[in-house]
Amino acid sequence: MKIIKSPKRMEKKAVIEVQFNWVFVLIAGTMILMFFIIIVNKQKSVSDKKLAVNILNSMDRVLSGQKTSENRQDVIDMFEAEMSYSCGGCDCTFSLAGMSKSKGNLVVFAPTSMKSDRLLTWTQGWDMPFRVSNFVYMTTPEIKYYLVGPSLSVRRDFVDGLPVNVSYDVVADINSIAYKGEQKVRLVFFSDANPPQMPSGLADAGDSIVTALVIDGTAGAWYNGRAKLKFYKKKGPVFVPDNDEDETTNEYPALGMQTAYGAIYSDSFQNFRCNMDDAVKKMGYVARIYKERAGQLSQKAVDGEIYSGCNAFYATTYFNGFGSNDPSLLYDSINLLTTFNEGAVISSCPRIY
Amino acid sequence: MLDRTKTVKIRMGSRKSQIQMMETVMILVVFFIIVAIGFIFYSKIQEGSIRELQRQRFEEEAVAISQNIIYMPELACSEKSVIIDICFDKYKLKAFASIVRPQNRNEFLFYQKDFGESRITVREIFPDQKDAVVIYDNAPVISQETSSILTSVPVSLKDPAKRYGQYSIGILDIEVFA
Repeated sequence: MKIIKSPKRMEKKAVIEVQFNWVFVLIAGTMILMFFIIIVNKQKSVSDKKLAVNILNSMDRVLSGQKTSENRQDVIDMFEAEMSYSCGGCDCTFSLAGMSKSKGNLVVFAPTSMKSDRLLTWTQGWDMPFRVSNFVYMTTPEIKYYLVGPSLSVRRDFVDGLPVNVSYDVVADINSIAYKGEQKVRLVFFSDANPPQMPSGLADAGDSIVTALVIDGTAGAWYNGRAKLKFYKKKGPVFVPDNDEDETTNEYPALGMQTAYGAIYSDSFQNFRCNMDDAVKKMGYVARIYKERAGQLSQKAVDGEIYSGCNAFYATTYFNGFGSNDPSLLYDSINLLTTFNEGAVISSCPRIY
Repeated sequence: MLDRTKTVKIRMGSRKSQIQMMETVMILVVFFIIVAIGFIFYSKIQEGSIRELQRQRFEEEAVAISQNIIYMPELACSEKSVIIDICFDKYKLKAFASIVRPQNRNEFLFYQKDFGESRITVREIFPDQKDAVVIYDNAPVISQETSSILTSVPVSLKDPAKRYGQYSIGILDIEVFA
């Protein structure tokens, strides 16, 4: 016996099937669409990261090149991106789009964030009195520097030495400073005002935009450890000390003009201190190499391979102050080493450095 | 009679939609198989380009290390306090080698940031051939997977203690491991 389904029931089933077909097509279509959207998004984030890595690698190469040449000014064209530079726990890294690259042993003074299509770089040799390292300075044209009240000698010896492509103005009075929408404003005071006074024209600018540096004690050879570099940040209408990570201090001695330039370029005391600590550590290692070299030359003098009178210049005790950021200890050693080196030159002996 | 014809038509319609469903499912399956094959193919190509990039980066690293070491004040020789290009002071080389050793942890770790996993040697070749001086050695344990790039750069070597014939010619060998 054959059971014949009623036509009404069959019709109902067909309607359900057609509806199910549409629902199925809708789900499948959505799944396919979602699949491609996910792929496109993943691909986008991967290529963003790839681009960031490429930029950071190119920058690494540029910085390595900069490191080997002295007194060099460059403008590096790049696509506009916000790059940050931070030294958490003194591990300094450049970061871009979630990717970061360590600066290694390079001494780089740069603002904590740079957003521009051009990077301005500058290098200066740091001689203490022997060459320790080349300092690399970085900034962008969008960052404005105001140098407040430098004396004539400071202006001639120090301020005029800044690269011409850095956007800076020398002002005598802070009331002439106004905020014109710059990305960042850095004030450099050549005075003993601690904390410095906030210019009325900058009172309304954001706290992260304005920072200040006080170079305290710019008389005579101020840059030979006598002046103090004090960092400040804006908090509402006033400046407050910009302390390091451990909240211990906001000041560092000026160990050469190159250090003071570094303090202008760095808008964070933590970044500045970490770079200076690296530089001082390297100074200690380079000094040890010269000390060992002096020992070898002394042995040559004892052995008679060079004039025995030269031995008087190769004492190694004057290297003790290197590797310290205590200015009096360091500059005592520098003065002693310079005197002995000059003595060696006058006596036609091989130089100590 | 009419009812019977209608029933047959409906039954045929149901089979047709079943076949259509199957078709759709098959299309989807084939589509996903093609997508999967495409992905496997794409990832293979990507793998190749990543390897190529790694090799390129590795070569760049070797060049960067050689460029870095050539201008290092720790090793460079100077004439009246002016650093001479591509020239090493023999006494500084010896001093550097004795200070930057794995036994001196701090110094070694400091320079490891510059030189990474590499072995750097300097050998004098003219006028006299002398034994190579290893100035930095952080070579990994050599296995089948270890590859290295050797970059050799001719350099001047200065003996500051000599009044005449201070300069000789040497080769700086930088072997970078990956």
